[in-house]
Formats: sequence, C-alpha cells, structure tokens
Amino acid sequence: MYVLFIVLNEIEYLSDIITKMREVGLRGATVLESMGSRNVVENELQTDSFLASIVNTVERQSKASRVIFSLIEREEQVQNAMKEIQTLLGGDLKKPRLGMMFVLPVTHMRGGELERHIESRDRKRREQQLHEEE
Amino acid sequence: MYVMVTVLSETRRLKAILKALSNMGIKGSVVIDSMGTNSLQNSYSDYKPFLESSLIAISEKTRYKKTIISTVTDDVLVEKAMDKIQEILGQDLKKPNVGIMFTIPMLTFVEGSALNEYTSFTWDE
Repeated sequence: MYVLFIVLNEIEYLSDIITKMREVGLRGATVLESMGSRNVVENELQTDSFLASIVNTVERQSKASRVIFSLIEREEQVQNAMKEIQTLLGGDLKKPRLGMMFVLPVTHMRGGELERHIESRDRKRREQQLHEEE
Repeated sequence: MYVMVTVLSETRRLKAILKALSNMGIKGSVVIDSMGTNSLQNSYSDYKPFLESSLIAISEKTRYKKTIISTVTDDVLVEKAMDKIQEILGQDLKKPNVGIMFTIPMLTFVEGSALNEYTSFTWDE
C-alpha cells in the first residue's frame, strides 16, 4: 500500500488531475491548500497582515497551490498514475513552478473508498471460488 | 515510529478525537483544513487562496474536512488509536464520506525534546 502526494502549482489542472486519477483507478483523494516556499519568500508573506493578504489575493499577487494525496494499493498502479499525471501536466515536471510528486509506503490503513473497494473485490473472489468448488 | 494521517468528515468530533489521542499519549497533533474530491466538484475551485476558503466557509456549499497529522510511537498504539477514533466516530469508516486513516513509517524524528515539549506543555522561557 502506498500514498501518492502531488504538489500542484498550476491549480487550473486540479479537476483534470482528479478526473484522471479516477480514470486510472485510484479511489478517492484529499486536497489541501498549500503554498510554495518561493512564493512565501517573494511575497514576504510572513510579515503580511490579514488585510494585506486579502489584497494580495484579489490582485493575484500570491499564487496558491494544492497538495493532493491518495492511497494506492499496488506499485504498478503508482507508476501508471504518476506517468499519466505527468503527461497531463505537459510531460516535464522538472520545469520550475509546475509541481512535484512523491510516494510513501503505508503501513496501516482503515476506511475510505479504497477499503470498500478491496473488501468488495475479496468478497467477489470468495464467492467465485465457492462457485467453482461447487 | 509512525506518522498517522486521519482525514475526518465529521468535524464536530474533532475535539473528542484530539482529546482521546492525547489521553493515549499521542500529543501535539497538527490539524489542517482539507477537502475530499467529492466536495471539490461543486466548489469555487478558482485560484484564490484566501477568499476562496472564506467564501466556502460562509456559504457552507462545500464542507471542509479536517486532516489530523500525528506521530505515533509503535504498532500497538497505532491500532489502539485507530480503534478509538473509529469508536468515537461511531460509524463504519468504510461508508462513503466518513473518513480515512493511514500511517507512514518514519525513519528519523526529533528525539525527546520536541515530544516532551508537547507532552508537558510548559512555557518557561
């Protein structure tokens, strides 16, 4: 079991990526608002007041990014999803400010769409086995 | 040592969960606003970081979830914490839009001081 993190600086792609993730068979994802470090430094956000941040936002000075994470069961699914997402983002994630992806191993997992999926698949498999034995 | 990530739809239970975790010895969790992909579909998913979230919060058109990130020392505690959270939520986590929990193994962590700081809550500077 793995968890794939995608840091996305081009938010325009967000819904495309989520659709693509569904297409390649990932089950559910969570989205967080985030901000790249370069953005923080350039806009000196640490000194901004509440109002200044609103002004910044309205003037589109600061740019938000998103972090998407999703649980994936097998490694080939990870590879496939990463490849598809990279293609969607233009094929080269090494360009600055586009985003990044990484994968971490997961040791325990409970809940969510993935567990439902695994359970229903196992049940089907058991029923099939019983059927064959009969 | 593990990092435990809990995505929670039932945000009203947040306080109870944090309290339970801290009673178990899992202290100093981090809570972030997050959003499931289901609610994302009908949100103002424009490019405005601050305004967007305020609008969403006011209109309650989409429901924000909470993501809790905590550090857990061992296997047994992970299972215990997950059982407890499930118990507090009082419903099956496998149902849609309830939540998800998972852990990531941690190779290194700031030993002692950071954890102790959270545990004792003393501000003696």
